Amino acid sequence: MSEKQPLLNLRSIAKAFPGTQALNGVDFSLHAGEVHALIGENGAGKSTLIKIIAGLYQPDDGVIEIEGEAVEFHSPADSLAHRIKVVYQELDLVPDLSIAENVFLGNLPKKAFRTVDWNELYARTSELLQDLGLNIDPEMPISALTVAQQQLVEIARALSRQAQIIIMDEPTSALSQSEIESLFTVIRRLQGLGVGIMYVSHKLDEIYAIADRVTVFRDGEHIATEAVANTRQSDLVTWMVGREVKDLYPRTPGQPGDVLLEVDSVSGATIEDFSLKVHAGEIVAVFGLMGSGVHNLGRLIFGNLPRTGSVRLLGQEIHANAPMDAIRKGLGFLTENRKSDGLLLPLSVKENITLVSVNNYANMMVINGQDERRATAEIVDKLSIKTPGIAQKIRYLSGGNQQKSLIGRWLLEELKVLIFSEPTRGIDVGSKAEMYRLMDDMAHQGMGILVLSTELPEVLGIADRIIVIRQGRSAGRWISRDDATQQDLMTAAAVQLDPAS
Amino acid sequence: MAAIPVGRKRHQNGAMRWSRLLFSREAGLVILLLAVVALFWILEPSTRQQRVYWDLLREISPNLIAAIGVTMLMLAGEFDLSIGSMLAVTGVTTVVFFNSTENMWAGIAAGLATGPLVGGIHGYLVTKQKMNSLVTTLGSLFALRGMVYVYTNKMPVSDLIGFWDFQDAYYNNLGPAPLPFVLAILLVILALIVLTQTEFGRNVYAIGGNETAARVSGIRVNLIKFMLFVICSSCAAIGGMLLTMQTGSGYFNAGGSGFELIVIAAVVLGGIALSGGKGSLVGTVLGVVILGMTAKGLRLMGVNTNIQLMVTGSIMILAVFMHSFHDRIAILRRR
Amino acid sequence: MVGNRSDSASTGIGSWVTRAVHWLLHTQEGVLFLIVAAIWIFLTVQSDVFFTGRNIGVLLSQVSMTAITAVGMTILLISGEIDASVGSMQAFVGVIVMSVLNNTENLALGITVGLALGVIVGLINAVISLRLGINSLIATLAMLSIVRGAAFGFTDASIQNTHKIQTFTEIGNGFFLGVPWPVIFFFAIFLIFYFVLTRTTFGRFVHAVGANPEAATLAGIPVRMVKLAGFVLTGVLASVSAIILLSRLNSGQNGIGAGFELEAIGAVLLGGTSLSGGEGSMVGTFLAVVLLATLKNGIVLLDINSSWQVTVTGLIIIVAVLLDARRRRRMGQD
Repeated sequence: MSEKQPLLNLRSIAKAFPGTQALNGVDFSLHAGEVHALIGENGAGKSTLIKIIAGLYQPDDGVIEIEGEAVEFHSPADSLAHRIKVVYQELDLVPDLSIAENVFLGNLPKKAFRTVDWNELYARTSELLQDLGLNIDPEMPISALTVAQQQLVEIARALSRQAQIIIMDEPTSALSQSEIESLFTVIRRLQGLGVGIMYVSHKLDEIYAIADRVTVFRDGEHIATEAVANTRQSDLVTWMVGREVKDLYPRTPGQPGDVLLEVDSVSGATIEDFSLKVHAGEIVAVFGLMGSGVHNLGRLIFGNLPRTGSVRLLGQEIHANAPMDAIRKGLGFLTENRKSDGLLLPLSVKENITLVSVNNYANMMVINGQDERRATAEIVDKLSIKTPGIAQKIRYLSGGNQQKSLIGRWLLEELKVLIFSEPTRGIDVGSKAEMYRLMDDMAHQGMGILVLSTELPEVLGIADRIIVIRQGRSAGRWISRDDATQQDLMTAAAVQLDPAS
Repeated sequence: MAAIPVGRKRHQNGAMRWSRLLFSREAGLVILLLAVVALFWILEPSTRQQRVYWDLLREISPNLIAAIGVTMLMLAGEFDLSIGSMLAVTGVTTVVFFNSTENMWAGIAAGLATGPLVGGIHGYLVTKQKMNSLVTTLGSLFALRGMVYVYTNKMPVSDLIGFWDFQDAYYNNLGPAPLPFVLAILLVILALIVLTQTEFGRNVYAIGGNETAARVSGIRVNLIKFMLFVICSSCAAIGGMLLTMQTGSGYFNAGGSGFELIVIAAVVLGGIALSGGKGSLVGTVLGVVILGMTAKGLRLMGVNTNIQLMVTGSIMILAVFMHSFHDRIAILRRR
Repeated sequence: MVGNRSDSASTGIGSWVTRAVHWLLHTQEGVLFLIVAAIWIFLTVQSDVFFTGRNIGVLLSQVSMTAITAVGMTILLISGEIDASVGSMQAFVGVIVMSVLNNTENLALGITVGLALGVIVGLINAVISLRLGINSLIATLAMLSIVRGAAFGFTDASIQNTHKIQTFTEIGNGFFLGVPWPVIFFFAIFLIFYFVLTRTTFGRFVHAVGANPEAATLAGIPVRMVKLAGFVLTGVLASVSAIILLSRLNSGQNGIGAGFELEAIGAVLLGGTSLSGGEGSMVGTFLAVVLLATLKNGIVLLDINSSWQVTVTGLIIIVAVLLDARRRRRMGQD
């Protein structure tokens, strides 16, 4: 593709873990001033490759070349020494240190006797941050910044080491639309400086917006590398999934029934005076940008945050501050943070699935093991959760299967309404389609579904009715998918936050 | 480029710095210390003599030195429960070498060498074998104490030669200040400089705050942790040396009545977070002095030694509650 | 991959053998079992006295106090909390129960008071840890001092047995069908709580709140109540230990039980229960307790300096944790 020597060239990299071949002889190259996207479903081997480049893992086989020279990374320090910097998906910041110390983490400017040169540190940090359009006091603790600002600090960290190769792992997963735009501006600037950027993501629209080339991995294999301009989105999806995903959004609206959930002028946390109704057989979505309060809404309704106003399920009031009451009356809630709020990592698939419903298989607190196993097996079957057995520890399952197990947790209860907060965050295209099909099924069986999401295509694809939330307040309602356009919703969600757009 | 909201101004004005100091963790501890001193001043006339405070500083020196090591280790998110047993190991080793080599410096060197030795073993087990430090050092708490028991047959080991200089050094003063306290303060200052001004020290905080971040930033986490275990056991060995100087004999049960718990209590009182990454050595010093003063005041009042325990425990709960309250206020102030 | 097998595994001798081998080699319980078995065989060969009913009875009676407290501690640790105050409880409950017995000559009252103290201290631990939000290690370390102080405050000498209630002496020293009572208490309590932990909803909730308190809350589990129950249970079982100890010593001693908390917590950790909550094994605790007791017993029988007991306890904790760390790394959990 290029006559010039690539900055980074990986050839036939292989890496195995007990039980899996994570990477099977993959290639990847990165040129100066290029944004090269790497995409693939969960388990495709993207994060393993990142960790190899970062020096956290050593490959079993293959060659890493930096500007044509073969190198070996035994530790992150080796990789950093070759001016490679990974900006991880989960931010690698130390909350109680200052911004400046975070930017120069592991690389503090020093005076005599290895003492820190504070003046130099603060001066250089200010300079770097200003370059990125961030005008803040570098002595402040990092915890005082917003997520987007913290992301920029991560990039400043890369610049502080004069990184020539920057690897971004899902950099936009916690950013709002306008923040993504400013991130892209920064990326283009870096490109202009001759930095090579490896952009790992599963958001295809971003790849079209920012990348020059794209490489697809599937199951640890290299599938394709193409110029982005020459690829269609459907090709990418086919390469990722290995088959054609005909219908990502299988929603077939039915006839809405009685009102199930009534949320009446609820206020609390960042929400003010919010109302909505969910009918039987209906999928209602609340769309908002990051920071709009859309995620708090779920916790308020479910009674996990203090609130004022009334929430009724089939006319019965659901008490604030008692998830137990909500569950008893038939309301379920899947949070946006699977790992931190949902999964019991040390426990088995079975114990995770029956967490809510375990009382149903118990008599005088004694669990009937047979009943419990049978119920779990049915769920595993119905949701086609891929696991070697129901006694398997859930931490060994893939993200998609973990998510399905969490849904299974609620299917075992006789629910009237289920709230999905970011139903497909962090899961791959194949699992996404399954997730939407499942929501469609549940609606057809007479349940009400409330989706809280920051992903526009998802909201448009799955919901029968859409409510936009902006700064904790309702900012418009749309009856059906045909009514609402991407433009309408985005304007409603963003207009006051970001007057420029 | 979209404007990103501006944080605080580059340089804070004087008033802000003062308010920060006033609301700091340490300020709360100073107030607590003054309250304790004032209370005893009123209740117990003998605490109105200056001498009492110099004695106090002499007595708490071993705890203070041990607390330095524990603080540094806890800042990195690791623990050492074995420091009580280390006191006995150091004492017995020192005196045994006194008697066998008839050379004071050989004894001191041998006694102090136990620190890096034990610390090195802990460091290896935790960093290379990935063992949990709390459990590992709980094991060596028993193992070391047991070895001392076996070796001494539960008899004190006496200095048969009579190195009086060794004992005198403990009771001598530099000006008005007891020598052991001078040593302790020098070590505190050294550690404070290391923690706040050197790359090593900042990396300790980084490891305790977010170990993964430290690791991927190329900080040699294992090496630093290894060194911290060595430092911690070495500090305990120096503390053990001071205890040995008090009597000139190696006592098999030195530090056996929960020395590690008292030191950890003082460190926690001083505001070092159990999860690491947060707190300062100044807090630890205040914590040690507060607990020491409380114990001494009660002792002077003739209160049953063990009622002191109740008071110590209550102060600990009070202080930790104070810290968590402080954290909540700090979050509110930041908003 | 080892350790990841299905509940509905096929039956038959072959699979049963594979499972047994897997348990022996790849779980903390299995490794402990092998170590215990090896030492039992060694001691049986080396000493004529070891494998006799009398000696085994003595061995298990001696360890029953640690064991009973360790049962409560296992549950508490799985729920993500810890109680360091159980050592001082041995003294505090001892002196008070003995004095109640001396003054009232009423056995039922004495025991009730003892158990009530366990409930009260457990509740205080729970309130400080859960309500004030103080880390339970720190909170209960403070309580360790406070409760010890209370024991000393109650009496500055030991309280001798002046009531001469025969049944009370039987608790720690008597036999039932040839089995020492402390051993019966130990086994009964172990079996009951093994069942509670593995077969009841309460046991499931204990695991859940330890593994992920936020997820447990969102699943409608009363997290604080479950943890509170763990604290109270640990307090009560520590009281049971204290009463057995009191009966064996025949006097209430205000200085007894120093380091008892470390032994109990050490045994639980040795048994494979995780410090971070959510994971643990009652069987592991049982085997760990028996292992520690066997080593002490063996040192006496082989006429080794009894000071080795302490050393060996420490070394065995280190070795067991070492094995566990290596196993976890092999399974790629870290």
